[in-house]
Amino acid sequence: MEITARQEAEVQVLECSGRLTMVTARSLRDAVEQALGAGPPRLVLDLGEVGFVDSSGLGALISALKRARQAGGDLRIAAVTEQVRTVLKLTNLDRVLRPYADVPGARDGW
Amino acid sequence: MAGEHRRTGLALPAALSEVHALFAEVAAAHPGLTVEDVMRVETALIELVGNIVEHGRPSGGVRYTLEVAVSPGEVVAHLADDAREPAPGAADHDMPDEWAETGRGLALAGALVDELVHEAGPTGNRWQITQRRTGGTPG
Repeated sequence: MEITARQEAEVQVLECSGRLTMVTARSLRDAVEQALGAGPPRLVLDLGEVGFVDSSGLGALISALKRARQAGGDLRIAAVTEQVRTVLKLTNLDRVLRPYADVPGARDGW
Repeated sequence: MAGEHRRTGLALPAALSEVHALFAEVAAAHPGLTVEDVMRVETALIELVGNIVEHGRPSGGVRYTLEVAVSPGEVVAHLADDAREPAPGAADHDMPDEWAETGRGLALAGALVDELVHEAGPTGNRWQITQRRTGGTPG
């Protein structure tokens, strides 16, 4: 999984690509920690190029949400693919991580 | 039909890539399968194989065998391991609350597919997944 962070106004966008699984979940946790140490704690995860998430990846998303809130910010996810939307729904995580249609929609209006 | 597509090996993290590769093969060989049916069975098996990788004992020494067969009506997958200890069954696992960071794998696997059967025996675990095909064409 590759993760590239950029800042847009008071929001950090983490552009993710690849699979988010037990093999790569650590990368997301590390990237979120790094972002929270480097800039504003409002994070948007752009998941448009993430075609697959497993339960370990879901755990990393929840961990990232908690960390962002502990830092006084929040975390939103954007542009999820069908597989990701399905696993979020089946695990009820879409209740706490509502997918935004795209990055601008998630970035604006905090 | 059983064993139409097959992978076997040690349950190491690289096994997850093998499962993804197997389903790329399944999708290519059966263009009539819907993307959603492939995704549901693939995701469920990633959870089950991931569970063996993480919890199978002896760690790093458990062998898995995965076979996927596609018929006009359904996709059936058989997964077996030779772990020394029985794996927990999916039926034993309720979906954890939204804030939990672990413990969703088996519950998610069960929620994804029409049927998930687990048998634990003296020589390891056996899982069977059945997914009735939704739409698509028979190929």
